[in-house]
Amino acid sequence: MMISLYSAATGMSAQQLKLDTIANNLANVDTTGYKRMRVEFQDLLYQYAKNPGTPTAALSSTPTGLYVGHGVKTAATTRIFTLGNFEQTGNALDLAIAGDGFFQIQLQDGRIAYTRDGSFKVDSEGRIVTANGLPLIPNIEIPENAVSISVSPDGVVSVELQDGSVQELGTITLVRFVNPAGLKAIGDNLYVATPSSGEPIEGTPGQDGFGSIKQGFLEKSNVDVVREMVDMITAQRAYEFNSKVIQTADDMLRTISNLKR
Amino acid sequence: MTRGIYNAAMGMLIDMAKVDRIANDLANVDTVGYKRDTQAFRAYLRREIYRLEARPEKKRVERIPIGPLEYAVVLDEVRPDLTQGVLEETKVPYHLAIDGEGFFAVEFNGTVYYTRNGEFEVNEEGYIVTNYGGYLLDENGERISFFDGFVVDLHGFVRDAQGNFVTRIGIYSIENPSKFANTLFTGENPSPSQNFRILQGYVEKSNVDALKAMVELIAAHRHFEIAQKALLTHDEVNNKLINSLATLK
Repeated sequence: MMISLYSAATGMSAQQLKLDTIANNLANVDTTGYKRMRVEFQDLLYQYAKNPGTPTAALSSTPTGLYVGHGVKTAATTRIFTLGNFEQTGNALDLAIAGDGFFQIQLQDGRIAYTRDGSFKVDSEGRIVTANGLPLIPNIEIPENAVSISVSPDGVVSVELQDGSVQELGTITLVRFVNPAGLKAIGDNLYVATPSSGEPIEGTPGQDGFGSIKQGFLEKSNVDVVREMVDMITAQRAYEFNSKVIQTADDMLRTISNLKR
Repeated sequence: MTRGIYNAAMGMLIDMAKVDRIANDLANVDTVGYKRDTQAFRAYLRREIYRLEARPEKKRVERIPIGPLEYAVVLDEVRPDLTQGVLEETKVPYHLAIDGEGFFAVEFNGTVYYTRNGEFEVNEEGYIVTNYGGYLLDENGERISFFDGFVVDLHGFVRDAQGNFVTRIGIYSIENPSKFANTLFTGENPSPSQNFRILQGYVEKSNVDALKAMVELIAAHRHFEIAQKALLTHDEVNNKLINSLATLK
């Protein structure tokens, strides 16, 4: 049977995955701290009927050979960690990282997760927690008699108490990774480290390449809607091209079977 | 005359090879660094045709050449078409695109391959790698580390945030590039390329021209049907030959 049927089918499933990725990017266009995904494709193995360099005569050889390709495969879906836009919210516990770095979050099972979503809240015990109630690391407890909370660009959290005195509570530290694209997303804007991301490197905001903390801001998603729409158009058309190839190959096979009457 | 049937059938086989090639090109219409294929065909057999003319005055028959007749067609070779693909801006600092001649050198499983796919990543050791773990090499054949403030200029020089020279990305011209897979090429006699620009934060898209591929698909499809008609016509002539001409009445 014709190889083109299978090559075109690989093309269609690749474009389908691309569309799935675009759909997820667009669905998260307004998710705080979301980083867009990108699909990477590669061509499949080639079947060589004649290898390059096959002798054709005593002193000559074919320069290029004769081969046919087998379509495309998805090599990877990578997350692109470029900065998103900052939105001013004025909320004291909305923190954005202006540059490299992740907040550390304590998961219920004891593991540590990492996030760039800095929309923190205070829970009933006074701890700084994510929107899902998971506590920030290092643990910072806001006293009951605090009037206002301020977070400096280098991560120092301090509160003004009812009597007008200022109390320093601690410093929010950030971590970074050699290869942030190797982090594994576990949903809820959280990532966990993997062997490919490398070990987390802890540091102070605003130093050693870490971004500084901007209080009262949130980092929006870095999804560019125009780019996603253009990608969606190309994915749809590429899907159509491949389906036309399947139709053509099918038509040719029917013609062959009709040769014998 | 069964020769015509085989000629037509070989024409149909060629169209199937064309559709197979177009299918692979179109499947890779969105593959970064992919280069489309071109196919070259040649006549299977070329034979001189003569007219025989009686020359009674010379008491012999003379052969007067009419011209060559080409029988059938076969696929001779397939080679990658290395024309430049469109550059797409990704803004990812470790994505690189070559505008011009040459290939990146990539070390994968101990072998050096060449590629135009600049969709690189950074691995856990901090090296710039392809998405299947092949290391990008500099002009001395060494692996390249990614760091903060990594800047690549148009000539492929890697500089740090202060503008200090770190290394230079190796861009090579190769002879007889042939496709391996994973957008990798193998080739002979690598030599440093001269005519190129390196663009950081860009990737080179596939150079498959979808319009051209679709036109070629239509052409191959219709040519296939024409060849099929020729085959059937020959078949009918044979049918007449067998059932009408040779009928004894």
